[in-house]
Amino acid sequence: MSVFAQAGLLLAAALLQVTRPEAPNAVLALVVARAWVAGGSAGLLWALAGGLWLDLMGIGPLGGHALALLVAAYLAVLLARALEHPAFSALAGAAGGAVYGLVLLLLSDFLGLAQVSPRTGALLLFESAATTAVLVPALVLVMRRVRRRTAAAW
Amino acid sequence: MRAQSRPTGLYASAAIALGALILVSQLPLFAGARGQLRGTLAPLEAGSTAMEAAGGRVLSVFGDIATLRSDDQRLSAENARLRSQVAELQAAGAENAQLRRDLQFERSFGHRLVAAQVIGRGPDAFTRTLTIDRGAVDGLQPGMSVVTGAGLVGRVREVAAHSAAVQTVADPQLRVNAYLVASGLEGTISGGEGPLHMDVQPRAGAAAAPGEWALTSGIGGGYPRGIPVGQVTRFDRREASTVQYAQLAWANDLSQLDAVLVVVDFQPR
Repeated sequence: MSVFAQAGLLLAAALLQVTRPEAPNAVLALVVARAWVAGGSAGLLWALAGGLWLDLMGIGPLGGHALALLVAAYLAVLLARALEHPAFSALAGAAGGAVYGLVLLLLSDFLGLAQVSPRTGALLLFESAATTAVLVPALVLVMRRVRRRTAAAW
Repeated sequence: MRAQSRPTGLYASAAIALGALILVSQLPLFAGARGQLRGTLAPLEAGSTAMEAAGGRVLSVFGDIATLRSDDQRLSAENARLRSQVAELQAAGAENAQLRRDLQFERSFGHRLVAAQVIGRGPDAFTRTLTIDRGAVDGLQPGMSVVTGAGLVGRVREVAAHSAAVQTVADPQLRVNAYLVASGLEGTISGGEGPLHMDVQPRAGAAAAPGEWALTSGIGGGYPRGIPVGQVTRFDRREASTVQYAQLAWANDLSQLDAVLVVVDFQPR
């Protein structure tokens, strides 16, 4: 898959997120799955690209989503090395979802944008972790098949 | 060991670079450039929203075809046509009602308003935001209040030439000073997952009741006074507490917002 196609896929996922209010965090799930399947450098590139798309479509600090995705991808890489079985990718999804939300909340707090109450923050983190945990294993399966068919071209 | 440390180093370098970008982008000097940069993606969001609407119509057509196969063809076609007409009339009626409500609101509100179409929404649950198709060329500025005929939507956060980002009341990062109409209690409303929350300053003998409306108080100068924000659904009264707590149903529904009004003649302090 070419670099442009990868950037296009992430742009499409980001657009889906900002135009459908009920859509899950597809960019986060894609980045965590990519980091789990393809490892560090690939996960990093997707985190940066997907994060910057989201940053350009949201109103938080520029680079905030990219940083949150970067941390989630790094965690997925570490977990993939420790727990190689694909079944554990849901764990990477849950951890990635939680840490992604945590970074965004801490960033808001650190930059003085606002303080979110612990109860609200906990609910948001739980929701983020749960949806990503569901999505990541499915995406991992799809990505593994695509990689096999394209002889690991991406 | 080398393979382990290389990604870690890459990630650490990228994180440092992003940290610098975050701090630089927060400088007031770059606020305009940041808004303009974000504005470049607004046409894509508008196009995506339009495509999604078209896709929904196409999917509904496929749904109708599946029904046609199982029923009598002629009657089903007639039925589908009538249903389509009813749906169109309902949509037109709803739009008409919203426009009438907005028009009525503009007349009674006493402020100059600019109507805008919603073309995008916040990328995740941590930022409940909207992107609208009006920007600096339409007179929008950061801080301006955004409303509908039903009540307060939020405030303009960033402005590009032809688009703007709106932070809604449902965003956990936004705070709105408000008062309750019947009891006169004052407090601060914040959003988040589920209903709105209001931290109420207690007053001896005063208690809020479900159904009571919360309006913007104008305290702090962020919003004009008197805009409906939400309706009390629950009130926790604790005699010994320094802060009481109310749960509110927001006057607007983020998922249903297609058009909004921006108050362009009220300058927040």
